[in-house]
Amino acid sequence: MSSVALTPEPKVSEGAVSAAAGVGRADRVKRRLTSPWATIAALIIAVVWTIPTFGLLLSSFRPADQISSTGWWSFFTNPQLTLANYRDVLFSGSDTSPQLGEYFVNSLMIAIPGTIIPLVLAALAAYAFAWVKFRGSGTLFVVIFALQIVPLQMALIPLLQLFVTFLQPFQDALAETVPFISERQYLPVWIAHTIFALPLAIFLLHNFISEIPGEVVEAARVDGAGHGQIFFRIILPLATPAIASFAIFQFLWVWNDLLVALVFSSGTPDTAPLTQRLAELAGSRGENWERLTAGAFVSLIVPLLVFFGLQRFFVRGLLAGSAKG
Amino acid sequence: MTTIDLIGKVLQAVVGLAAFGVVMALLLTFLDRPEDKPRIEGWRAAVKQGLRPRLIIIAALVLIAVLARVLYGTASWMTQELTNAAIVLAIVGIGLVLLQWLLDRVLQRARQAVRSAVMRVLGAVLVVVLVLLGQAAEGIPALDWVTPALTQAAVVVGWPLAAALLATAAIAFLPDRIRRSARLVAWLLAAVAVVVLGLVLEQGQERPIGVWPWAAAAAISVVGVLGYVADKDDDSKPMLVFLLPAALLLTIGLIYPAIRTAILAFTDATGTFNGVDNFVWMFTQPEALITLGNTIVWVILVPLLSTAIGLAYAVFIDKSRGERVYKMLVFMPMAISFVGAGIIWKFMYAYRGAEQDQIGLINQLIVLFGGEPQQILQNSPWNTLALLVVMIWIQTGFAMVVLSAAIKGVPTEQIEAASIDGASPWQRFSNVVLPGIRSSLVVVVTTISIATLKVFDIVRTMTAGNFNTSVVANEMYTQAFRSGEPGRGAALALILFVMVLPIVVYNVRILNQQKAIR
Repeated sequence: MSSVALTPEPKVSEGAVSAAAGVGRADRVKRRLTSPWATIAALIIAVVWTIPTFGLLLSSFRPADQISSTGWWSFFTNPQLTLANYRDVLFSGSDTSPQLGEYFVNSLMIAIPGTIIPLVLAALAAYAFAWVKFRGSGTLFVVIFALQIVPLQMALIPLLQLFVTFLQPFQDALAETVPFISERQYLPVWIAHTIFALPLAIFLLHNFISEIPGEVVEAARVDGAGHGQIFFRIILPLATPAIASFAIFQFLWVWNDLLVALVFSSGTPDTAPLTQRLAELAGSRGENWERLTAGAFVSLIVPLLVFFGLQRFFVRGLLAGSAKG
Repeated sequence: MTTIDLIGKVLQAVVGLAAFGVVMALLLTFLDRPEDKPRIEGWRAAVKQGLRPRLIIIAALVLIAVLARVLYGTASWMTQELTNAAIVLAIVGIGLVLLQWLLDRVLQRARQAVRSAVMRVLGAVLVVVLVLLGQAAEGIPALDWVTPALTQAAVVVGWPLAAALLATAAIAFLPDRIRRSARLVAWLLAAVAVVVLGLVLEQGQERPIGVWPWAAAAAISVVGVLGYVADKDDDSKPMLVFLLPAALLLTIGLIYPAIRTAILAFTDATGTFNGVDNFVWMFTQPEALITLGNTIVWVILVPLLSTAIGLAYAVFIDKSRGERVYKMLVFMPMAISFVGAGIIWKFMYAYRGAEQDQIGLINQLIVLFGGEPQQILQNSPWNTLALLVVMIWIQTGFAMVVLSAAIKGVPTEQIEAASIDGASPWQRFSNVVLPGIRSSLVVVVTTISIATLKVFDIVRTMTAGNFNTSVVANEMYTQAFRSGEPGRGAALALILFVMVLPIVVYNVRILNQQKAIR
């Protein structure tokens, strides 16, 4: 996730445009550049890269006794499919089974605020860095960029101590006050995700926001608009593409995270996300494949939907983070 | 999961986001500075102008107080302390809003320095009153909700804060240059005072105060530094509002913990200083050495292989039919969590005895070619390679997408010219395309390197670091949170930091170069 060098997104699209313009000639060149062997190699890579996921997907629909006795490829000679694994994994009432439904809700409840809060804070900060002139802004910006070197792992122990002394009393009070909120809450996880997302978020959004033409902002200033108005009326609408692509990134990252969840969530059905439960299952019931395959696919479905649905933004976000500028 | 649990969960998210929204809105109202607005004559106009936002806040506070009073006696969980707390806080809040409005009005024509001084003195008085009230809380029935811990916190933070406010008020009339520096010094001194007070008070107590005075000190310093920067001229003041939340969070959540961890690395399990023992442990114990060795293998092989495969694939599929589908297939693992990927590959590596049917594809292939099925994840040292494959599987998609975009940015004229000059496809690739995408290559390699150094989930899910597969990030978690050795965990985190450092320093230099070009 940590990305590097800056990239004004417009440049990337310029490159794409010029490439598109040269398509006619490019075709001729290309014909000589690639050979049938290259196509075959590409095909092989594509197949190898897809098979693991495909095998898991297929297995999750096979009857439990078949998963553990025959390979998923025997489906092609003996096709049998069932939804029983998913029913078991999501809704089964017994204590020993995963009951992933609850963890699924947790994942959602962690990922949504875990995306919105850092985005808002980062957009504010990025605006200040890009458009409010103050001495030392350059230095401060490099400091924030360099904060990405602090590995998550370094911040975990002290942050946990802080949360225990600071946040826990507050959480206890809240749980005592409102009977149906448990004393284990999402709050520490949200804050942790927000903190860890900020350096990269500020960096990426700054790159985009500073590319907004200065005349637009200057004109608004002359018309008497304050910084608040400029931010909400001009900057936010214009920065929507960058915000959208980063939001997708952050959502996927929070959804897929395990480490932060392990440290800051309680590990109980009250707050633990899907990934944490799955990691547990993979450890303790390593051979219970009918549960694991279906469970893994439950956790994959949201990221894959986001990925296929918003692929354009997703790729753009990647490029904004890392392509040359 | 019962319905009430679900309500509790959704409620948390809704309330959390709403609270966040309110805090942000309050912050942004500070942007509403009197000097930005045209001056208003007459009381009625003034009332009208500042009325609406204040009315909303007051209404909200009244609502809270009334709700608390109504619920008290009807709802079992609404204790007397809680009701008192809600009502007292609401009254104090309304008082503050009215006071602020009044001052705003009275001081509208005063000089900036006067306004700032009066505000600061009043703020100091308020803080002192609150601290004194907290200390006297035991005798006042309406304040029965103030716990000793709360009083202590008020004392530790309150006195230095009041002192700093008074000091900065006193120097409001000094010339600009001296004033800015003097204010900064005052705030930093207050931060130091908070820590000292906390340490002093901790001595006489059986229960330690914990680490929060340090965090409070960090917060005060950040406010001081930002204030110093914003004090320069009127136009840079909004940055305080825009930057403050992020700066506070980063200080408390990243800078301060990083420094603490660096200190923690030199202590043992009980928290006493033990010199470089943790590092000696790391570089002498066989299992710790294996961890370090594994990490080095990871950070060499993963970036290399995934970039190479990603680049080859990007070249192969460039401008071919169905390029989008090709890209999507290889890129898909990026969206999958490391945990999910771990399970997918654990399934690929699954082992069954030789007499049974294999269920894992890899072992099936081994059997197909006449070999014995292997316990792939348990046979060291090849199991590290098996884990590595998972990371490569994920990162190749990233390398491919970025490099593909870079390849499309290489001017076709250059490639064409090279081919007219009779360059072979390989020459065209190595002499024209490769130099054209150099900077992207660097970025891809460094990004994947950093991600690889931090890799944790894959190892955790697939082997939990057993069978000689542990890496630094995983070992750090195990030591700190499973074995009760936070010192060793911190030392490992520090090593991780040292390993990432050169990569990011390099990138910062590139960043600066690019800035210079612009």
